[in-house]
Amino acid sequence: MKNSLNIALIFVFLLTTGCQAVNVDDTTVPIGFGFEWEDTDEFKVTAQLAKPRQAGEGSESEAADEKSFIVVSKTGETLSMASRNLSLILPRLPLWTFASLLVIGENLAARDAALYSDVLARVPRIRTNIMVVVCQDTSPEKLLQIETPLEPLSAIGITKIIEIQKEQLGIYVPITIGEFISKLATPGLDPVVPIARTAKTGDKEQIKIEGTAIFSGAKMVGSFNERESRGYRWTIPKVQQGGLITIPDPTDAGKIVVLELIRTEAKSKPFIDGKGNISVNISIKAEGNFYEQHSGHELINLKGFTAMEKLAAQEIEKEVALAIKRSQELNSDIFGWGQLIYNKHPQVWHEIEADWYDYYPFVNSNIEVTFELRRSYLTNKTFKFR
Amino acid sequence: MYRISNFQIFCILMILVGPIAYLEVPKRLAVLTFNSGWLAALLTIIPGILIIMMFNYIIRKSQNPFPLLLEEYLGKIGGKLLAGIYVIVFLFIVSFTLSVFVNFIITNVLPDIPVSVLIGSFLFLSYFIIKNGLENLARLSELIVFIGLPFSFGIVFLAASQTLDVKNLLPLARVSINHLGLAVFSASAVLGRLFPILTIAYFSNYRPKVANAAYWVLGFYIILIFSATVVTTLVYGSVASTLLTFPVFSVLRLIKIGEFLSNLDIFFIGIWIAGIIGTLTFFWFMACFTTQQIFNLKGYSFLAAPTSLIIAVVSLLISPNIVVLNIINETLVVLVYFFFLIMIPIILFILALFKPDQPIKSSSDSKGSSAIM
Amino acid sequence: MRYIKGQKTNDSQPIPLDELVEQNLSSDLQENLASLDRLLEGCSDVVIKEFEFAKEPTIKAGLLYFDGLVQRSAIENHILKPLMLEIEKISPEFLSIYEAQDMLNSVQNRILSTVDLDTINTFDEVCHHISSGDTVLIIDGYTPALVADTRMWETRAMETPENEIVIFGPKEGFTETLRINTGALRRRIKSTNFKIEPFVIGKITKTDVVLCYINNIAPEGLVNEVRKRLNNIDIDAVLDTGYLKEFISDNTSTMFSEIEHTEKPDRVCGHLLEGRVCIMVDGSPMAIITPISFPQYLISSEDYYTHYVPASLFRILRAGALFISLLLPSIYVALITFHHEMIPTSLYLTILATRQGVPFPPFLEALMLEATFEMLREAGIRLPRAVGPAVSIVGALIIGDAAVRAGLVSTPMVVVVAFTGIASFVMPAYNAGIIIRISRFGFLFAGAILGFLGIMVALGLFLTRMVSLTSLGQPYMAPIAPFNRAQMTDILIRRPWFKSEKRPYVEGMDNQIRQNPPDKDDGGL
Repeated sequence: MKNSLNIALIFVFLLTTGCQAVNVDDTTVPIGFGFEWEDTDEFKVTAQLAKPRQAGEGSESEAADEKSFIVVSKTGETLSMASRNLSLILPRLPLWTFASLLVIGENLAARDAALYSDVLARVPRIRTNIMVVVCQDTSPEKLLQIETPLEPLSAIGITKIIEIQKEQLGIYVPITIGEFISKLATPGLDPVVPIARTAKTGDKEQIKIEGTAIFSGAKMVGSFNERESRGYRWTIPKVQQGGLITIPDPTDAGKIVVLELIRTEAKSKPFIDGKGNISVNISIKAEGNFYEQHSGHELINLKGFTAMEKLAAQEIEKEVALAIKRSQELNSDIFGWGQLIYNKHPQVWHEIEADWYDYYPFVNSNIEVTFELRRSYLTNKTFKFR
Repeated sequence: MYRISNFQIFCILMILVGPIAYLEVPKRLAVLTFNSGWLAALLTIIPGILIIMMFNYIIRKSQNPFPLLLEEYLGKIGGKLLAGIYVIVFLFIVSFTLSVFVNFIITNVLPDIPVSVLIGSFLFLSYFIIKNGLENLARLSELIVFIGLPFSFGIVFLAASQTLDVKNLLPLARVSINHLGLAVFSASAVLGRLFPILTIAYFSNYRPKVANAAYWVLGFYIILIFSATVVTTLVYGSVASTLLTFPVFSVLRLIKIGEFLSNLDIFFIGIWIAGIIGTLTFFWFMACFTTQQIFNLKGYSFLAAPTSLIIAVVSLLISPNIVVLNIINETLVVLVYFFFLIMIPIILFILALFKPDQPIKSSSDSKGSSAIM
Repeated sequence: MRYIKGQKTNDSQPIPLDELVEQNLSSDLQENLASLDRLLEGCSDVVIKEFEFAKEPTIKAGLLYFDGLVQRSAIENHILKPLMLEIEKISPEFLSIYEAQDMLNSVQNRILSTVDLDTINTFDEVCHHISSGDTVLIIDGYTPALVADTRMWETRAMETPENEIVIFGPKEGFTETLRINTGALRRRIKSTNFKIEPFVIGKITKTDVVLCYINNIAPEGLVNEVRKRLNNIDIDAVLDTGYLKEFISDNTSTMFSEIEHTEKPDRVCGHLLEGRVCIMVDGSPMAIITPISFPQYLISSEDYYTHYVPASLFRILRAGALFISLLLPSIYVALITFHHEMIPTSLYLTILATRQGVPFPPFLEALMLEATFEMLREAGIRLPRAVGPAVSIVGALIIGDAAVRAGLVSTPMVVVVAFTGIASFVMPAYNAGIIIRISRFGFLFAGAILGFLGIMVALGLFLTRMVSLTSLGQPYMAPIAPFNRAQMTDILIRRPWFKSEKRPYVEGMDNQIRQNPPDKDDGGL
């Protein structure tokens, strides 16, 4: 009896204090959101909100050629202010946890990471395992307005594009907010972020991933083109799978051969000689398959394979050298060489940590690539016209 | 009278040590030793074994469970006085654990729920458990361990399947001796939570092997904090993991299962809650039991109601904000744990060393145990 | 009429009935019959036949039975015929010795040809026996009356129990007749150690109750305790085993069932062989088994007849279904009220779309649907066969379709409730499912107030209650908490028979060896 009284009391107590439950009907799902720095010295937060749609109704609304999302944006003194300012125009509560893409505007990226990284790390509603892209030559607001083909929600579309090209083409490396922040916070390691842009095809605008934003310290300082981006991808210490690479045909200089990557892995080691010169040895091991050729010369033999392996290694080396050159120009330690030195020679690192960016451009690098061709798919002879 | 099996003792000790340690120790290790936290975690095994051996020696040398044991060594008045202080210490531990966890939940999971509701519902549950007695507490702790232990390891394994960077562990084992010592100290201070073994060992149905339960707990504790520390370092790197309030929790937030289930933190926290409730309840039980023994009261369960008020008020007062809570957590709590749960047992141990050997009486006639049922 | 001295004074005042019942039969037949007439007044189904047998002088005798409980041919062939017709053939010397006290003995041992023959002394016994279907023979001039077992009444054949349907294994189920039921058990356990102890419980109904156990397996203390509790019962009627349940349980205030019901003899035998005891009541096809622990409700007797791998998988499935039927609605409500982030984005968008325009908050929606489901379920039990399909169609259409179309409830909620409903039928034990069904509403409430936190707190209370229960001294969560490794191997997974060297341990059990471990060298090829 006494127990039941207790239980009744606690329930009454709970009911009266209550806690704010959020009614599902009053919420909305931001699929992606963007941060930008406006010329008016204000932050702008853009959100791509998915329209709730019944499973069966898909075809009807597509027939009406309606977008399945809407984009709202609002400015404010800070990012959190701006995002809360959205509630002035939006009769729904955005649940930021559902977002799967963060678009950082070019202006904001070039300004200072401190302006947004704290919010990203602190606010529990923003998940840190979602993807980040930087948008160039456009604003997040405009970017998120554009639809991607087939994928009704373009924010998800962008993340899928990046994920799929990683395996298929192998140029850009996806990065999550968590990795981004942790790279920003780690000395001697700078983040790289894929760039999304808009491109006109006909009269329709399309989203396109092109280039990689390079950060130095807290600022975005420049960008890599496609080749340099791939050069960066070769140097990642983790195993990368998939991708294509073109090399000149060893038998016919005018034509090209396409090789498919199976896996590639890089190991970097820093060296410091007696005079205090810092150099880094990068050794890359890649494996690939023979994928396409234009000439009619027989390439699938020992000689051809050795020649192609050599050419592929040269090509990779060239790309990596390009990336290193550009990064040293921009003075951005995207390869984490500082971190390498800290790992191997902590003493040295403590001496040079403070002015690492003065040392970085002058670090020598030795690139060593081994490429191994493995298989040739369905035909094991060159296709010949007779 | 009811006897609890050594496995149940293992479970009780595990939930005393495990959950809150899992939440806090990786952070402390990261702050003190950066990416060499795992080394400190491994080294904790040495003080851990010493602590358990000490407890075991005291248990073997003494005839009565903990609060009466103080009287055995320090005389009647001294013992009762110290036992009284212990009641306060236990209540403090309960309140502090409660407020840490409530803060954790509010900051991370359910920001909208008022503190009072959280504290109220936790205390109500604990109160209900204490009312049901030690026997059921022991059984419940078994259930909690069955669910909690696999999940704790599950978190680690799932997190390990995410993005890891082995390079984060480099430079290997580079840390100043001072910091390492401090880290080991703070990780082993948590093992002071094994202290209630001085009481529950006397309820064991096979006392000579009680120490084994404690060694198992030590083993699991080391594995837990080691794997948690390693995984947080691997995922976040040494620098970022020092910034995070609860690194293990942040790792948890990254977990994604099969590209479909993500954001499972609330689910894991649900399981954590079970562990924390176990911890709370047992220290609360210790407070009530000690009080009962000091004043020779008939039972301890009726003490749960008045003490619940004390705990509720103290845990509200102790944490005006996160900064104060962290300061208490890093200084006062470590000291309290160290002094009361390790230093005093050491003194007892020394006293026990000089005590003439006495044959162990069968504990059914000992005062404390007969009062249980 | 002869008068016994003491009775003379009472002649004008007949003694009250309840005193009369206690009295012994007198040796005078007329007097006995007169008393019985009084006792059985108004019992129109009683048959009292007076007849004479033997010659020179003839002996008067009376025969009593209740019509409808006896096999009349047995009375005719084995009592009346030998006495009235075959008496000389059977014992020609009868006439010369009939005067002796031995006469009764000869009738009992040499003349009557029924198997089960006994003597009784009091009116009470007479009444009890005839109401049990026996026939009582009172011979003028001799005191202990003879009672012959002539029981025979219309009874259901042993059919497949409707509520415990299995695919593998015996299909037989108990009937309402105790003897048939005990016979079914005895047929399976051909051991003299298998004891069937009789009790008569119920001051009015005088119901036969038996306590079955296997002497050298069931712990002595357990049997004694059950015996003691059965003896302590002082109720007027026992109509079903359900009556006894509450007298035998340790905790009467709890809704958790501490006793297992079954209608299947093989299931009872399985439990008896694991050292438990079974109680059966005449007139009820339900046997109750005790002590039982909650995890055992996950076990179906079928598990033991199928291969151990699928059996183990099914048990795990059942455990999952148990959690689903207990927690799913509350988790769903907690998710869409508090923890939106846990729902995968695409699923959340669907829920968002389906919930547009639903007027009720999720909690109310779930409560309504759950209540409706329970109502349908309750109605389904009582529906006459003919209208059953009609109601289920209406239920399915109204709840499944019309309510969703009208926008009163959202589709995911219907799915959740339906799934929960199906999961709740997975539990093999119906009575264990009841508490799950009821608690579900409590969890729903907790989930709606505090989200996951509330569910955890409610689960804490639920489990605390569960671990604190005992079933005849056995902890209710037995092999899990307190943990018992040997027993755990037969809870979530089914131990292969060739590996089951020991019985699952019941506290106090001595005889744990089930089979000797197979000799490893023996079968070596």
